[in-house]
Amino acid sequence: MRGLILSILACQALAFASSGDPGNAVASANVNSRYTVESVDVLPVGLSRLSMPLRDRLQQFVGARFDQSLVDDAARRLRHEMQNAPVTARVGKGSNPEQVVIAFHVELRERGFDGEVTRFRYQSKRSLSFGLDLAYRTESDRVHAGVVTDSDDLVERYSGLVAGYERRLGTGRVRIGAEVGTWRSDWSGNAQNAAGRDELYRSRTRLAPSATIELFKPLTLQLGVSLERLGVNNPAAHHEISSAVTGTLRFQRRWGLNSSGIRQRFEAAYGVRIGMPSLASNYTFTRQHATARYGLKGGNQEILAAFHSGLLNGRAPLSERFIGGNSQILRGWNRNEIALLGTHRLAAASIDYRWRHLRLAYDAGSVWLRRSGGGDGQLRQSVGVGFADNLWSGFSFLVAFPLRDGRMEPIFIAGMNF
Amino acid sequence: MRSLLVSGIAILVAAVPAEQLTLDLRGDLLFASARKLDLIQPRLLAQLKQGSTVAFDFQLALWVGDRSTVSRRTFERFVVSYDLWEERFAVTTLRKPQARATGLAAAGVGAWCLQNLGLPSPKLVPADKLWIRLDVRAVENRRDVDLAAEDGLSLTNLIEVFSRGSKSGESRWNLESGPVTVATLRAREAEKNQ
Repeated sequence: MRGLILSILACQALAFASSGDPGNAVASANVNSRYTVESVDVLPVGLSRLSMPLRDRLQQFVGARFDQSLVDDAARRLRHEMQNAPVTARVGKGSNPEQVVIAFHVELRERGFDGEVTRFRYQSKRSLSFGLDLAYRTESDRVHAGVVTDSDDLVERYSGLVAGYERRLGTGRVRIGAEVGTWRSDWSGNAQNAAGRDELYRSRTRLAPSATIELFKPLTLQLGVSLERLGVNNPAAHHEISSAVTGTLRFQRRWGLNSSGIRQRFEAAYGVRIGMPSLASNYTFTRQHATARYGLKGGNQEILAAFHSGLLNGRAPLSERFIGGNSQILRGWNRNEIALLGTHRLAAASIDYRWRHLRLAYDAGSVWLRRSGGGDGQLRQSVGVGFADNLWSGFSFLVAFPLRDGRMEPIFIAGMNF
Repeated sequence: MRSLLVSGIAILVAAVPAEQLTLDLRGDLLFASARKLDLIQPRLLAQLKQGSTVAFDFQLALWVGDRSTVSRRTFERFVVSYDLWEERFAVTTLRKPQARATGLAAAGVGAWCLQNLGLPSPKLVPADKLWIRLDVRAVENRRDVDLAAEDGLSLTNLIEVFSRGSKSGESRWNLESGPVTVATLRAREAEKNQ
């Protein structure tokens, strides 16, 4: 057994020493590299469903010599595009001698259960947030249900259940669905003291039907309606309705998923929610929110830059307000100090740098109310240091401090995807 | 009675374990050859016929005098591919200068690898007894699964990662031979050179 382990180690070292990259060395030893590629296909989805860059890359194989390292790289990219579905590259004889055909087979998981930890985060001022979602998927339908308890996203802690259904139509460019959720709201003592009696609610129940249209591969538009019932403490009524039409434009793109090691990723979203009396809403408001994230990863280093901005006008429930001093925005600041009941305006940016597992973070931004009374609009900055395996996702922890005169109380954040 | 005796002898001969490896001395190098080393198993053959390569890690270990300590050891990684048009196998080494063979039949792949796996011989006297052991492992393509996938932690990925070992069914071969004396090897070498 020890001999075999030694053998494995020696062979790995040998392979690396011969070429610098054992994968490439093995790929270049393929006898079929003397043949020319006649055609490339992706089964069963076809080339047309792929993003333009990947489609171009695959089409460049045609007419060139077969290169297994490029095929392996394309299979990895394809897997990323196909939501991690297994991809196998098969090479066969072409219709002419000395030519080969390449077929990538994507094992679409047509049916099956899947689970996802949607959030797992601890912040020393806000305690634990956790969410778990279980889904059953067929080729065109997806049903999911989950539980959540969160004190990071909204002014209050909300805990409850979420369930939804989604169906792909036609070629899959259009998806329709509906999501229903019911949450109980828990308010801190400070928030209860600061808020007006008619501002707090005990519970929220939301039904949100929507349609998502893939305008082109990285850009999607989601349109829908959000019908929300708030359980209130108002003696005049047991509940209020907050209904809105919603729209979100989302862009996602990745570059450089290859063996060069440099990977880039960009995501941006702009969302608008318009509360309308015509939908029997007790609230009339317009909420706009824009976010952008850019990530660059190579070797032992990684950079993640993020930007958030928001604008809320009209009379809206507290759940529509923006938050600063959480695990995403102005990390290091105590939310109770800068905007206890959330704000109407938000402008914040952050940059994180990782070297190996060392994480450094810098945040700057401002949150403020339309009128005075909370969130003064001053520029706030914070810095953090911690541990991370992957900035974009994965587990990490951070100790963040506000940059200001006087006492600086650190805030500890641990969890996934922050 | 005579047929019964012949049958009995035949059964006895079959029951005696044959040497799995034969050791040869060529100059300062020891080489092993195997009576049977079928590397191209059906599962690997299917992978090769899809245009992929399969790498095999070879280790040859030598004991001298007794089997308490390995005296010499050598390693090599051989990469096998299947020529889709000629329908024959090709093998290459990774160590430079690379040795390469094409047009091999499946049965010839293991033999060619052993012919290119020389073990430097230690200082030996004719009375030394030698044992040899060959370990071969197929290095199959791994499926890349990021535990912390960029889209978030998925239970499906976790299940895939933790069940990968039992699914892969790694192919291994272990062959042994010995003891054989150095005098026997030298006699064999002389016989071949005549």
